[in-house]
Amino acid sequence: MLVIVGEREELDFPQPDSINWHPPEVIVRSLNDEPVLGATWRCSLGYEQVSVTVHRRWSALIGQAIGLVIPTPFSDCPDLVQGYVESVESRIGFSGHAELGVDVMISGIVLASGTVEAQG
Amino acid sequence: MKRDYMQLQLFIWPRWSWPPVIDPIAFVGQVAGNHGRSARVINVTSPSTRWPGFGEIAYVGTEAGLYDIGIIRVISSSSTEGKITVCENEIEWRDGLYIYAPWLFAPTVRLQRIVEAGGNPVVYKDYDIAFDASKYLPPKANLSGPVVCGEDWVEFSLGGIPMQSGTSIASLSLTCPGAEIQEVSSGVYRAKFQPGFWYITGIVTDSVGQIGVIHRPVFALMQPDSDRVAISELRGEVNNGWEARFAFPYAEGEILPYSLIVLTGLARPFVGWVINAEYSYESRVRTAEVRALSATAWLEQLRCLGIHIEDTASPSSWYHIGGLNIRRAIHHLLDWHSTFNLLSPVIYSPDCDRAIKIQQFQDSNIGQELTKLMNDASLVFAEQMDGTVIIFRPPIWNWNRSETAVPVNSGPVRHSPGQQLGLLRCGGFAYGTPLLSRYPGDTPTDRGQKREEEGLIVADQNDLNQQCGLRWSQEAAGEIYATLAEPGDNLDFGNYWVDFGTDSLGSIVGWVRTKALRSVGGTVVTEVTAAARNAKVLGETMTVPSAPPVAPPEWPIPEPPAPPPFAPSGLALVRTPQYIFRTFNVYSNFPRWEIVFDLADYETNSESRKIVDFRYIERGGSVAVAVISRKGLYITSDVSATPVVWTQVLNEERLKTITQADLSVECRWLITFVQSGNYLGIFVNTYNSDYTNWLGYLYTTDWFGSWNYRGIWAVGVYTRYPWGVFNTGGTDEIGVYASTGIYGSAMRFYRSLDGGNTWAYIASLNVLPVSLMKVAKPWQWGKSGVRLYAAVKTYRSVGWRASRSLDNGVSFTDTIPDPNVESLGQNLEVWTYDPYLVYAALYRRSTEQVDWYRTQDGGNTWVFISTIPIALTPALEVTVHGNPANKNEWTVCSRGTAISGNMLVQTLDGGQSWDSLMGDWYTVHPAGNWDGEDYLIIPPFRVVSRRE
Repeated sequence: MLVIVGEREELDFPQPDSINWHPPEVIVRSLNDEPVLGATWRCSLGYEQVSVTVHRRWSALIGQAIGLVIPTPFSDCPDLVQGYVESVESRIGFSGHAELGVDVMISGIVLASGTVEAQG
Repeated sequence: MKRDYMQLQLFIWPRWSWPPVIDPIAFVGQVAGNHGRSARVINVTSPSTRWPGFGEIAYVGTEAGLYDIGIIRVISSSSTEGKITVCENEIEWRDGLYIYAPWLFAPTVRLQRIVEAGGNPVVYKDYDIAFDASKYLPPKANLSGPVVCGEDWVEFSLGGIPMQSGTSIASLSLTCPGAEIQEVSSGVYRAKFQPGFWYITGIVTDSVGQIGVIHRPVFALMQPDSDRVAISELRGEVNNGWEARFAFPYAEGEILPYSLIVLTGLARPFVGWVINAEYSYESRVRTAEVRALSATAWLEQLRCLGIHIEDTASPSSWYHIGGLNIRRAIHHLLDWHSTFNLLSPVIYSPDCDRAIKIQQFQDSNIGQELTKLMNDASLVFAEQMDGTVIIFRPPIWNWNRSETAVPVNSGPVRHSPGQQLGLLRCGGFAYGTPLLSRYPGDTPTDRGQKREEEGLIVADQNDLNQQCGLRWSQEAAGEIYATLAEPGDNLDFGNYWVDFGTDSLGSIVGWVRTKALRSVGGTVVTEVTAAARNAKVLGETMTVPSAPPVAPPEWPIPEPPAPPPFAPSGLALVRTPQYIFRTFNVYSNFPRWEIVFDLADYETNSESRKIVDFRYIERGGSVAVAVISRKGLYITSDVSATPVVWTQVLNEERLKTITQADLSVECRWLITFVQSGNYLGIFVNTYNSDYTNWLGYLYTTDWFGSWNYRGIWAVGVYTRYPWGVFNTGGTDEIGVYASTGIYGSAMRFYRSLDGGNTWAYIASLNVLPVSLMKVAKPWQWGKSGVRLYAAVKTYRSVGWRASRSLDNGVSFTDTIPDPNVESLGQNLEVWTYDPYLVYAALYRRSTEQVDWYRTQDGGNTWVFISTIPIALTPALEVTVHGNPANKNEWTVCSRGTAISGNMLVQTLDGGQSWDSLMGDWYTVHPAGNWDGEDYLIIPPFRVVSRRE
């Protein structure tokens, strides 16, 4: 999976095992109780098992604005989306030790097309 | 992925979104017929479809695109008549001369990877230091690096010194103050350089006599935390317009802000400063963002200023310019304080065909005003070729590691009009009385003496004359003027670099760069102009003309620092009582502002209409902005959209519905709000039947699904100043400061532990009435060991107190940076992620200046950092805003009177230097409303641009 940092710095990350899209949430309700959705989506990338190096590479990107090429809800093929890395969380197993899985949350993604129903 | 690092790539940094430097529809025309010297209306033939308009800058040259004849400002043009009217000038308008009017913008460039060596990409920041390979300077002095400062030997060689026929070098002496130079072999030397900025100077003599003076700067970048530095690599070869190269080798150390970046060999020279250095853990290289602007572009934009200051010899009747009196106009000049200051176009007057003309201001108030401005703001007044005067502020150099910034020496730079011998490219100035003192308690009278005591290095004037073809004269005590050589002087062509050395702290104190473009007799120096012809424009790829440097050694990879909560963006907001302004390029040299919210669109009562607070709120990864007025609440889900769509959440009618349970009071207006998750609480000012003001509170816990109102007894005090509202980041603990206003009792502190339903009195802050505000970040409250700060202004007395509480507000202890200053508004701010890092902007009324203080130990000790360049006085209120993503980024708002106006300045280095954020504020902001108040940095929105 191609991750673009800055203008032209391309980083090659392993393809995540799961990609989950989170539609915009209700930002506010108007005087008429009409919900107003946020402008951006979130996307969580799930890795079942990654190397420590990949984990560190993702962690180094926390807070950074990135572009990444992934399938989106509105396109059949992977497309370039832009957002910033909100969090990188390790998966903790029952043994109390990290299972070397990691979940990366990408926020602030503006998708070019598509509508969603108001959530909540 | 294989990349070709053997390229120097220049491209527009998308964050600031500047357009290309050159509009493809540039105007090119030719003078039709001889018009003689100083002609104003020029007949021009041109096939161009775009003719230049008022204020545009045109190059006059022997070829299209050159400015070897001069640069002129266009007043008007007529394509139908084939005429261009230009400003006053001394140009000999000959038939066939070219007039070229590029549409100049202000680009920002970033230099990225250049070289791949040893399998690792190595970042080199190449720029031309305008070095000359003439007889005075050995053409090669190669330094390799990086090295450990003061430990590793730096070898360099000298060679190619031109000799008279039949002679050889008899002696070659080199000195470098502070560094011992040893000769390794013939022509090869070495030295151990300490961090700082260094020269190599020396005398070359042959059997006949002295043949040359070596005057070569060696840049050594200092870093604050270790001794590793990056030593520059100097190359003297002239290649494709790169007369010399200066390289920042790969370095582990810091590349400090305000490192100089100069690029020539392009279509235009670029001068910039490093504003941000980054370290890539992926490639283990350091990159630096460069804030750059075409030297000619910014000079030319300065020249677009339509202000004509004229001494009427009658101080009581000021010459008005576009409705502004001179004092106000000059203050407008000071709206810019950055190194590339641009002037507000609001004083763009069609009645004036000069840039800035200051005439005979001796013994007048104008002169006093200008002198004061020069002293206070470290301005440089420079006279241009066409007789116009530019005013700019030289760069602030700060290469030392001390707490106190080094003063910038600056002074007048001028050259005679009409000489056409050269072009003042850019620069500050050295020597003379330091015009910007950064020492507490400094007085104008002892500044010069203090500088002398500090050992300011003053180079030999003859030496400068010899090297630069300039005439240097000391016309007044503490001032040195640079004047281009007179006709008949043996002026050496090419680029000249004049450096004024360092002061005792190792700081560069200023510089002037000149470039001779044309000889006395009018012969064009093709060696110089060829650089422009062969140059590339931005956006293209330029091959580095020299061999790749040696790969740097492998150094230990430092541990990554704690990541910021989000990346900085160029999107920021400013609020005034009626408007919200937005800019997408707050980190640029000239932010462009636009109105994105007008309260008058929603509220018709002009008496109660006022925006009182705003902030961003994060929900589900989206960042929204909430604006609260006295009578309403407005939220947008996307402040980066165009147009911005605002949703009205509360209005006066809805507020009445919510608060109807308490019929004894009137909800006069909203004050401020707190928000966390689905919780949002609003403090309201209520008006009781006994005509007293009380603090009420209403809140929602289900994100506007329902409201709870706590009436006048919510907090239990009457107040006008419930400043310092904060929460813990959760919904269960909301605290508020409440000042009792004019009713006599001390400032009281209340806290709610149940989301605002009930409130408890905690403590009384023993200060006089009309105490104002505290500052404490929400998350700090209730945490063990946190500190609570209160900036207190006492009533009817001078003085300011920064009080600190270590017990959650039960007791306070004063910590006073300076008892002789007073606060104006919310002038103290704690950085979000360090409760011990506090900055304060203190107004010193006696000198009408705002000083910037910092404490890093929670208020135990305060350090004076700098004087904030807020020249607009009086200031009614000063507010300080931090950026959670950058502890060195602080913004100060100064709300002044209708006369003094407001100011918005920003530092990216903790206050060592300041940039104005005003940009085109005065163009956008409706006249008459000058009281800008708060500033808000917005987390990133779409800052990654799609690759082409």
